[in-house]
Amino acid sequence: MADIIFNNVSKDYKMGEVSIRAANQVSFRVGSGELCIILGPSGAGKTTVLNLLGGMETATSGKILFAEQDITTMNDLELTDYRRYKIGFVFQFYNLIPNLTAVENVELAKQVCKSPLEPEEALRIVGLKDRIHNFPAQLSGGEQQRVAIARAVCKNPDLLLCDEPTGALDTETGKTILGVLSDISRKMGKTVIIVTHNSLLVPIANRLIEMKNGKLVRESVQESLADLEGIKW
Amino acid sequence: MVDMLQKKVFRDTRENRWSFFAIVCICSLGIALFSGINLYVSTVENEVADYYKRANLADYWIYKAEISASDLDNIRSLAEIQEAQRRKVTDISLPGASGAVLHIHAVDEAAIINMPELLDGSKLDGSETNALLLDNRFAQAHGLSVGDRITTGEDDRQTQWLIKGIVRDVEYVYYAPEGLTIPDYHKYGFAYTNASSLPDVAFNEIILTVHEGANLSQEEISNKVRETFEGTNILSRHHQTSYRKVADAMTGVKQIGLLFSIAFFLTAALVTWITVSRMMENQRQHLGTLRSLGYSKKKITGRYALLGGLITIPSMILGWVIARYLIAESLYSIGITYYTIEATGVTPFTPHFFMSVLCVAAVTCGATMLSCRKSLKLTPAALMRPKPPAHGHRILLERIAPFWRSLSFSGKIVTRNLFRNKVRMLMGLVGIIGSTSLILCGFGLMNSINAMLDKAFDETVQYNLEIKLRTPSTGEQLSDIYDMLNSARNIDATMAFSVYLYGEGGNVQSPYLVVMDDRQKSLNFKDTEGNAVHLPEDGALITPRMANALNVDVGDTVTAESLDGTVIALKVASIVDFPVGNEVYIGKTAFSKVSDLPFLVRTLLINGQELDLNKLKSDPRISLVETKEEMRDNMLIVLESLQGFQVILILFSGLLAFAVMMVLGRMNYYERTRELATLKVLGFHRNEMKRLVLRENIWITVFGLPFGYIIGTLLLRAILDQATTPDLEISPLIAVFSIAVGFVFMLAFTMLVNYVMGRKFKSIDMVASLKSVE
Repeated sequence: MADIIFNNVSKDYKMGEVSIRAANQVSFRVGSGELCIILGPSGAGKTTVLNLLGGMETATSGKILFAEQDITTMNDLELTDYRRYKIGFVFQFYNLIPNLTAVENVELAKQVCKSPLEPEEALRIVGLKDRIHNFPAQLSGGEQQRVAIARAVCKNPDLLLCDEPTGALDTETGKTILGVLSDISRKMGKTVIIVTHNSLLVPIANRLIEMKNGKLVRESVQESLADLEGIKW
Repeated sequence: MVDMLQKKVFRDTRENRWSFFAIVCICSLGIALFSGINLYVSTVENEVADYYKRANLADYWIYKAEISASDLDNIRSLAEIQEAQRRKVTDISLPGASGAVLHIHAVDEAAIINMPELLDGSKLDGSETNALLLDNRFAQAHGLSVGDRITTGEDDRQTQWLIKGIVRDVEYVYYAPEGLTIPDYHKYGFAYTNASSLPDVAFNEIILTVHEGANLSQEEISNKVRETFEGTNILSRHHQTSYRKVADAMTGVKQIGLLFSIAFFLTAALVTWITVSRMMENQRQHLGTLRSLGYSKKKITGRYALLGGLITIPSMILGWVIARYLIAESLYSIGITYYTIEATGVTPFTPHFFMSVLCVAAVTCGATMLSCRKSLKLTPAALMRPKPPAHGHRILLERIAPFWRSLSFSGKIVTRNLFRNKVRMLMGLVGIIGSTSLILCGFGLMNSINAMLDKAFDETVQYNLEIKLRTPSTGEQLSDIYDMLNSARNIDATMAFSVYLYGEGGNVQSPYLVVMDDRQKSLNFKDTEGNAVHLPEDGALITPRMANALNVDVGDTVTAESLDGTVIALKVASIVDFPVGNEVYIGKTAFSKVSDLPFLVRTLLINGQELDLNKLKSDPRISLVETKEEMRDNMLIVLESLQGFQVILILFSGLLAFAVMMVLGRMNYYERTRELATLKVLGFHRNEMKRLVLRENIWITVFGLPFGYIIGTLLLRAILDQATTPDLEISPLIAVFSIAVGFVFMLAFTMLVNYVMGRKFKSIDMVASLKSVE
């Protein structure tokens, strides 16, 4: 199974003489198909955990297993392939390519995958039908984030990593984006990990990992999930 | 107190040091090229002009077979004439194998015009007989020094001369007599002696200077002298070999240098302007922050203008060093081997240097200030907001549906990137077109020179050996020389003597009139359309340059005067395309119709193999034995300054190309880190990223190359137009091979830069680049 296992993972950032430990002996496990939220205030190390998991950074110590593969021992090329075939990323600031249209941005991701979805299909999943031939600058924030999610989904990844996906959006728009993400987890069976400092998102998650000062402070599993509409922001 | 804003600008510079360094390189090359060539020319021109003044170079030379004291007085009495001196001028030859000839001058009073400059020994006091002052180059070539004796003349009439002094002379800064293209110090020298030492020679030349205030034209003065003193030939400085060759060479270098450096400078300025503007664009948010902190627009603009200073000052220093020690010094060291002047060293500064520095300052400061002003028009808040993403719109090509559909996905991205970012494309194109044209121009110079020599020596010249006789002789006198040449396939005996051709507007040309057999096989004449031309039974053949200089056309008649005053009317029968030299050719039959002069052989043009050159060279009657290869090599040496240029041209344009590509690559990279980081997160391999992001550089290069070729051809044409002198005409030609080499060179540069930038992709920090909008 494509479980995620963090085993005593630490990450140090060296800044000249000073060494900052952004993640300290973090251990947890996320099951396949779960929607997991990593919650914590700024500087808690949650983004570091996400980046480590996404193969964007390498851990200082510890083991990270994804589908029984240790990604801490992968070289640059293997990490690229790991990102390419296994991971979908969604950023707070979308990071769309400005001079590609919505559908082209999605197509860009499709180009590098083995069994991608059709871009139009991915855009339909995130609920964007009309403005798919517009450039990012011609789309609203929510629409851009949907394109970003569609871009991640289109790759048909095993794992969707979202870094503050609603951070730059207003409440209503944020809600729809969360709806999209939760659907991807529940209906398509993808593992989705969302990093946020907003505790109001918690009710939609199967699993909650709380962090503070680089340490994991609590890990909890919720059996009964709240309906998205019921969440008060 | 340290100004924090200044500090910020300094730190920005440090962070962008490589782009900054590349810009400084581009600017210094511009300054160096522009001022370096000028530095060389001004140095030589000033040294020569000083020398002309110091040694009182004659303004006019008057020739007549015999000049009496009263003739001289008549000339002296003319209002415009400041000083005049008469002298005896003749050639004396050294016996033996060297065959050296001394052009000896004798005055009967102290020399006040064309004063020889004593380098060693002592001057003549007028009393000594058979003492002379010897040309220092000739003395060097023969290992002679003060106190040595030399013998001249033939077996029974030998004279011994004592060398009293070693001199340099203002008349012979560039001493290439007898139609030589380059000085031959071993063979030809000059000397000064007292008039009493040459009892057999009549006074046959007057040299004179004109009052500085006299504002009569050359033509008026010439006419006046010819009225006073009938049957003379008068030459001005501009027709005197040394003066003319030095002036022509300097004008050529100056004009070519100017054209070339302006082309270079324009490219450099445009690239610098665009780069600096882009650097400023990237400072947008900083400007907003500064404004919000309460800094005035004036203060911000002023501080950013510092950036211009930071580029200008190092460029100025580096540019000067390259100009002075590389360009000027190397051209000067070539020049000084041919110009016999006191080498005082390269002048350190010319106004051109300051002018070019000012230009660089204007471009860099102008670009910073203008883009600063443009940005500062916005409110601080607007500035601090992230730069609005490039407007999403479709490029024109997308509307051509069939073309667009045929592109691959990455092809579409690359194409759109290219056309969406016009400034980036423009900068790349300007850089590529500029450097391609300069490189091709450099290669083209050499191609054109070789093509010209091929045309002259392979197509026109059909002989492979030329023999010059010391004295004109009849055919019978030469029978034993003919015997030596009996293995030759063809021998053409020609008569040649110097004439003055008078054209429109006081134009005088002094070519050789060459009389040849009507059915000669040595020169294969062709007219400008390429049709074969034979020596006509009436009239003479001239070159297009001569026709131009005299303002005559086919059918016109020109008057030729020989040195002894014989007048010959020559009809222009045809204009022949011969790129080297400026002789007038006439057939024996045609010559006999216009002149009673007997046909005396002066030169033998020989086509043959395995001739005993050494035996010919040791014959006392022969003054010069020159093979076709030697002639060709000598021409190449004459063109050495052009070749020196070519090296500088190619080197500099290569550096420019590299610097431009480097700046382009780096700016593209830094402006697109975010995009690159996104691609990296998406799992793109480095090669795929390169294809998407760097391929556009290759396209820019490919687009630029044909335009570079076109502009290069135009530039080459303009440069060669300037290099055309009466003796030489070079048609522009860039060989296919050169074009290929130039193109490959540019593409290789682009790929190299792409390779260097591609390596950087590895170190892109995905996390840092994507954290927030910056």
